Amino acid sequence: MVLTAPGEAAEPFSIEALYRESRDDVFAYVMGMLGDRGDAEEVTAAAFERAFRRRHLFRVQRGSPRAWLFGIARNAALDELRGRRRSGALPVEDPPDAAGEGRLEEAAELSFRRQAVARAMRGLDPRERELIALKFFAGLSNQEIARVLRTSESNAGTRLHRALAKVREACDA
Amino acid sequence: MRKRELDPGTARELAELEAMLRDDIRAQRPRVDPAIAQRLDAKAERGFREEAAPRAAVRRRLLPALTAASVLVIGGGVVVGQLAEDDPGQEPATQRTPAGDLREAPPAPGDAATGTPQDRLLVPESGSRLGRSDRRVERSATLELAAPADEVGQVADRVVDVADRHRAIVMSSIVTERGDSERASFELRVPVGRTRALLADLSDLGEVRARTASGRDVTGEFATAQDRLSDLRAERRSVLRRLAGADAPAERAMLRERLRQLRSQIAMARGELRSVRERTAFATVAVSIAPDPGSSGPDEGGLGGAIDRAGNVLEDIAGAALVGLAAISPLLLLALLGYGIARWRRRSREQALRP
Repeated sequence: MVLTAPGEAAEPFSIEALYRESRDDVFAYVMGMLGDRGDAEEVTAAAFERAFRRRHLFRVQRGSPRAWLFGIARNAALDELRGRRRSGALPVEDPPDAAGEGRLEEAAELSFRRQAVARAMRGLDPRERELIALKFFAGLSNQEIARVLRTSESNAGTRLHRALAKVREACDA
Repeated sequence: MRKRELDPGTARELAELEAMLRDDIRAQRPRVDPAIAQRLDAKAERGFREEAAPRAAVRRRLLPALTAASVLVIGGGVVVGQLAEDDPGQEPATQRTPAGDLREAPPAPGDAATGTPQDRLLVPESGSRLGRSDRRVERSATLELAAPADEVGQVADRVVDVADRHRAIVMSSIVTERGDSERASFELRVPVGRTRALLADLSDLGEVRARTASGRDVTGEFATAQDRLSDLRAERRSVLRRLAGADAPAERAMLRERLRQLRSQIAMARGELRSVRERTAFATVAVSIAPDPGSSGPDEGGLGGAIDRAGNVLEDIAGAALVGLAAISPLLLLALLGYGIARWRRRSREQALRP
């Protein structure tokens, strides 16, 4: 799979490698924002198209390529939300069937707990859900999250702490 | 990027929460269907070249055109504004005089024959029986300036510089000292078409305490001198014709004597006409400079004078900054416009996350 045109100058990173390692993460993050698979597929493709077109604008001083890519994906998702006026409802993915992996009681407890977490995440506001999507679906570090959200690392950490505390309280309730 | 650290307590709790919830939250992670993965890979194979959103593609095509149009509109506005400004030297004078409103008039006919300069003349619109092109006005103005006591001499020097710049003649210049203060007065003769510009530049030299302008209609005097000269020339032509035909010596002697008288009278009439022309081709401007009683002299509160001078320096700096700003204002406007649009877009996107 070739993503660079012949004759082009060398880039600070390989857009091809970035696509391979980030495709599923970007989709998961965007899906977490939009709540619709069709929209998520389109926005994911649009995000990679923009990244492909703007790859020469990437500057190492501004952060990692992944943070840069997720900044583009975020804007694409927000543009979609703005245009289609949808809330960022998270889908409830059925947890994998754990019955074959251990005792039945443990599987039932796992399923119950994960459903509680899913319910708790649905109760968060869109900004908090986005934070969790960046952290756990996209796998970004706090520093990368701060770059994407254009805020400080400590602020990103504080907000993430608040969102996770809410999830835990909701699960414990 | 700001580097403030998360406080240790919060950082520890966050790490605990992440460890506690990581697996359960990641279990919620949406998965890419094989079909979706295949389609995305196919698009990646094509370099995503067909995936530009229609709106984004339109924006990309329009952006260069919009940018060029903005530059043209802003630059064109600046150029039109510059072209629309009147040359101050060409503005008609509008100083009110006892004779009425003053307006510019074209040069009077007949002056070219005598070779005098064709400066613009300020003439009254009403009160004359003659045509507009024959009007002559003797113009004068006075200007009283005030300057800090220790700067009167400098201001006086600048008066001379301004006079030179407007081709004015300094007819007289008097500087008097009374105790610690100086006063100065000038009488200038300036081509009448430059009177307004001269007064404007002189007014910038100090605080204007008084300014007057007046005009005296001498059209009748000019017309009388013209008519007299014309009559004398006509009589001379007649005497010359009679002399050519005279035979008697006594008659010839009488005609020659008359010619001699006419020559003298013609010279006087030309002198009178020239005098009126000179009086109306130049305006007399009397300038006086007096010390400002409110400003501090050399021995009277140096702080006030220093503050005034500091104010003048700041004014000069502000003026230079304004000129520089005006020069780059089109680009600055574009940059501000771009910044405003980017900011609006960012805010608009964040609005989409509001619950």
